[in-house]
Amino acid sequence: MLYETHAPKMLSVCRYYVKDLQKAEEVMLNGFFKAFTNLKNFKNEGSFEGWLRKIMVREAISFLRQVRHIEFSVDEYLEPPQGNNIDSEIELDALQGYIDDLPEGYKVVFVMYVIEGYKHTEIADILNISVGTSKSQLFKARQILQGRIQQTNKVSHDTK
Amino acid sequence: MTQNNWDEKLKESMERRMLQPSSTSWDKLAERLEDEKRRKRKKYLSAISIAASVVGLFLAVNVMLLNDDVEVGEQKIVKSPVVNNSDETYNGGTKSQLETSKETPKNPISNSIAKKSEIDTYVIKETQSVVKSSTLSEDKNLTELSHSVDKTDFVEDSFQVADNTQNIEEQQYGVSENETENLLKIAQREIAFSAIQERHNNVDAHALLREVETDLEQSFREKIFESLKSGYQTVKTAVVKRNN
Repeated sequence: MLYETHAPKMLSVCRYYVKDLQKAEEVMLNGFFKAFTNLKNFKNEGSFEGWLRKIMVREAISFLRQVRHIEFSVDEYLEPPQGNNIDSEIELDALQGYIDDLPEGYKVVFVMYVIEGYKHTEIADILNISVGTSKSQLFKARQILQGRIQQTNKVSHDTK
Repeated sequence: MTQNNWDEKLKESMERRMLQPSSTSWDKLAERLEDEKRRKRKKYLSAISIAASVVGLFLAVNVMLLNDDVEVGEQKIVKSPVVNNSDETYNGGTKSQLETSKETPKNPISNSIAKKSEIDTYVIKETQSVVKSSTLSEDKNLTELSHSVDKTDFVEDSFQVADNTQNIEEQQYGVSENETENLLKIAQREIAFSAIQERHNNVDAHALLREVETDLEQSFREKIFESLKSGYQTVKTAVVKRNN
């Protein structure tokens, strides 16, 4: 029952980090396995979904570390670009595609910060990086994504 | 704020997406959970078996130790020989035997005294003969006794005893049995004579016999020692008188 309720959402979460769907599903199953074998550790301090989601994020990051080394480029922090709006017409699959195209380091920090809502200190702690590195990675990710979205919006406007 | 709005919009867009897992995903998960359950059960059973074997070993060792203690305890129970010292009453043979057995065998006087039954009967016979002689004719025998047991005879006897004691001292050995008997004989005569003299011609044969019997009731050892002592004193006195 728990699996049927939360499996679609959790697979989507794992898909944020893992590009291949089958591998994302394996990560999700690993997450569910750990959740069910450690149900006694759930202390009812928050929602079950929130607790489950945290397990999925950690499993995804573990998978990425096993498969490939996550590289975090050390660049100077720059002001984020302004005035970028996400067009509602952009399909979610396209958006997911843009995120998938990001370098691993950028993608993980971006997803953890923007989508999962982790703070930079938490991200730095989980990924074992500095807060400055986390911020720079996020900036770079935004830069790239916003550029791609702008480009897509521009093309769509042009085609209309 | 613009950036935050952008982030919020992106987040809302991404959150709307739902991906359906494959149909076999649940089967795979269930199989993994079953395997985990079986593994935990095996681990639990092995822990229980190890604990049970440890407890069993502990109990077996305790039982073995207890059995060893019981055996050792039984072996330690040694039956001590019962020493029957209940024969406290005087028995001419028994008590004196116990007493003489305590003395060193190297003492020649004790060896000679060891034949106490013979000496005892001899003394009894002697005293009885004295009593008998007094009972035949009381007054007449008393006078005869008083005359017969003359001082000169007594002195002669004491000289004889003194000679005997000198011989003993020269030999540096203990008194022989015959000499002991003689000493006892003389001592008894003296006792009888002194008793008769003290009573002023009023001698009761039965009283004499009773006295003798009471004397016999004393420990034989004490009796012998007393007799020897009195005899020695007499001899000593006689020797001194002779020398003077």
